[in-house]
Amino acid sequence: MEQVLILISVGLLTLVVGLYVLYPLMAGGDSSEPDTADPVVFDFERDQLLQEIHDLELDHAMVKLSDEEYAERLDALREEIDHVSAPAQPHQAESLTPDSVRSRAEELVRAARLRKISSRESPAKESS
Amino acid sequence: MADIGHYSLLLAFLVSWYTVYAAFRGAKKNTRDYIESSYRGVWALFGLFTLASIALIWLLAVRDLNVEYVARYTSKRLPMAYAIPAFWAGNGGSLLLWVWILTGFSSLLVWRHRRTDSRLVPYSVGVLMLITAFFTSLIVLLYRVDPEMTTSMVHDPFYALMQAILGISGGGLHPMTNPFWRLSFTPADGMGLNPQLQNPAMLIHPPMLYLGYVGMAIPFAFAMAALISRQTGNRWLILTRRWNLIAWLFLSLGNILGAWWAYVTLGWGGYWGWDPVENAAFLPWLVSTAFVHSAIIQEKRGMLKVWNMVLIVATFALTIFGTYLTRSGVISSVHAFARNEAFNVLFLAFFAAIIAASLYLIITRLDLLKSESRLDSLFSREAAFIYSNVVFVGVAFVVLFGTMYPLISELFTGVKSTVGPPWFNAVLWPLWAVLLLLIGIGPVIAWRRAGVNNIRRNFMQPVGFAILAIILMVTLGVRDGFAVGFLGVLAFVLATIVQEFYRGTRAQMRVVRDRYLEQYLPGDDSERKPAEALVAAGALKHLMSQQTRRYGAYIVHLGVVLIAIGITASGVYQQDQDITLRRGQKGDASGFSVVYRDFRTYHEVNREVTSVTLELWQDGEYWRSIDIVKEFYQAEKIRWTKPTILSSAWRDVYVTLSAFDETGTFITVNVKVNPLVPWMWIGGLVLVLGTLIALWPPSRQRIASSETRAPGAVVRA
Repeated sequence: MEQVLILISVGLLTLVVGLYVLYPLMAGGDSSEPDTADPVVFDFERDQLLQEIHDLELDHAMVKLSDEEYAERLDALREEIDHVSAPAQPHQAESLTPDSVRSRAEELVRAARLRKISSRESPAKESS
Repeated sequence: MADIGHYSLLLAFLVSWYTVYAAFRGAKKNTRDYIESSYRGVWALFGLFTLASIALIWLLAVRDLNVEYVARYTSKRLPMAYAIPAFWAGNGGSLLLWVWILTGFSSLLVWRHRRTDSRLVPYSVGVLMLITAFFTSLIVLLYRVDPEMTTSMVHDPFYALMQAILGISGGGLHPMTNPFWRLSFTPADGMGLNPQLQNPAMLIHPPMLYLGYVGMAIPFAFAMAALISRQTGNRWLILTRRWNLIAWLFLSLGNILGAWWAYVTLGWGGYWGWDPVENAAFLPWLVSTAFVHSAIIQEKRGMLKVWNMVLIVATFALTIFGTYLTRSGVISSVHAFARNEAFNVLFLAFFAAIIAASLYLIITRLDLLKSESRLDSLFSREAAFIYSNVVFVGVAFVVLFGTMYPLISELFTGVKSTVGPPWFNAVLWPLWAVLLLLIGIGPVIAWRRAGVNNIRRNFMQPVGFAILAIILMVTLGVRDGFAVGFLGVLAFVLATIVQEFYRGTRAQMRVVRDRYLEQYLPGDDSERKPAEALVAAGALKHLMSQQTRRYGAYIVHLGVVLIAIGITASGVYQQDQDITLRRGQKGDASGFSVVYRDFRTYHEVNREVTSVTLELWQDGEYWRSIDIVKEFYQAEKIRWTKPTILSSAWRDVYVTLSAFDETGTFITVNVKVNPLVPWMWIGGLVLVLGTLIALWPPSRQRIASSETRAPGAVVRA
């Protein structure tokens, strides 16, 4: 009798867990990822850059940065923010998925930084 | 109840492998239904492991001795409070705790990020469930052939089927790590719990460590997800920042509680013995601390991407290694490997697979992990962070080598040699000194390049304070060069932290004053003076709420300084003396006069206690009377010395009963004076507080409002 009860309990538990886990597959329908990007989906990257600006300001206020360096880095961060914000135009949103937008945002920031490095390196090469 | 636990595990075994499949398929093909199904799988698994864990706790509480795990780790005389630590006393319970916590964390992750529009999350879930599936398989499938059993003695349908499929003969199939396995008989009593585990700290220390170990799986899973999905930007790092800090917090807590437990329980007067089990918990902490720092460099400068991947893989691999080391017993002897071969082989194979798969992913994605900036100067904050990383990893290598040395020596020479605390201390102290110095330098040195002006402006006062502190120490009679040097470095670090708070508050005061003071208190100077203090308090609060991560980290550094002060003082100035006394006799030890007053023995529920009453006198005056005890645990047949600790802000007086004769005529007492040890525990609390502040989200209001303002308007010197 005890064995039968255990068997029934295990069967019920398996059924409940199985139905719960497999429900999204059985319900069907939404099988792909149709989400499109919000026009301001770049906010994640932008928030990070804004936080960096705040950190920079605090460092400057605490005399950890010279005025020249502060101005230079502030300009660079502003430029990066502009890059991130620029593609987020409403007409582009429909063709973008969130992942592609994120990748694009990261690429833009990376490209801006790499451009800066190469621009610093080029005069050095030329002079050498 | 054992059946409920057992079948929950079996079901979890199936669901875990399905969830791995659903998560990876959903992530790869970007199909919402499979992703959703995998998320449900995570929640279902957490439910099943919760059910199994409740079943095990119940079985331990009611002492169902028919269950092998209960009989092995409890006894009828074991107090109810210690039935809970029995949960993680053996391999089966420990592995169950692992997967229970892992699926708990995974459920939180899914709940928190299920709406996150990134493939990072389903891939992370896939990795986490792969780890879960491995551990669940270990619990369910690991077996040995017991020659004392017959095949007909295997009553459980699952294991009977497994036995038939595998064609096992010459004994019965005996699961090795399933905590719900029933014996074919019920023993009269259990074997009891190791007395070392019969301590209140053991109720929280192992779970804290496990929370830390398992928590490190989350950043690892996100790192792997970033590599698989080729989204190797900063997003995975930022998404896991809090998870990483939470795991780091638990690891820190686990280590601190472990040290405290050793100190108050083991009776040898120390808190860290460089024992393999301690080291196993310390290793991932070291590497994850390096990661916490180098992650900042990646976020700020886009550098160290490959290094960060390596660190996070190393951290997770070390948590697996730590679990293996503590559960296999292999470090005590290489022969333990053969005794538990299947467990060892599987664990090591999993360890190797993690490293191989991670390295493959890192190497094939090297082009995506290129640095976005370069190191401009060796005198910069980036450089200081890199130096500290190198030192952290160096310390980890030293600890790993020292931990593995007995195994290596036994493997190659046949003779087991060990390296003890003197070796660790001798090798590590220069590294600790450099690390502490970098804790002071890192936060105040400029990003990119520190000029002469920057160095003078930021370091002059802390260096001056350190020199003053050294002069003061020497004047007060501190003559040990090691202590003077270390405490001098700590004074420097302390001064940099205070300077950071002072300058940060001053910078913020301008904003707060401008915003509030002129508005509400435009009066004369007499009114303004008390308001200045309020402004300073408001500015500090403002600063802490806006820069939680930065100032939380400074408080963590303060905690480290306090811990280091305790370690340095107690390491250099500990007094330690044994004294043998006849009843009624007075003798001197470690600066105290000790009078032996009374001797008695009595029985507790599960132990026989020998208690000695002593009087302590200092400078010719009576100070206090104390009882010191030795206990004998009948079921476990172990004798245990428990210390009596008299704590004050400046020292601990640590007294133990070393030996006695049966009539109590003679006793030998050990008296230790450990200076400043309480500051270690206070430092631990400060470290926890700092981490909690760093975890607190900064006020978003400032960021939001700044979007409509020109950058630079918020803080001005």
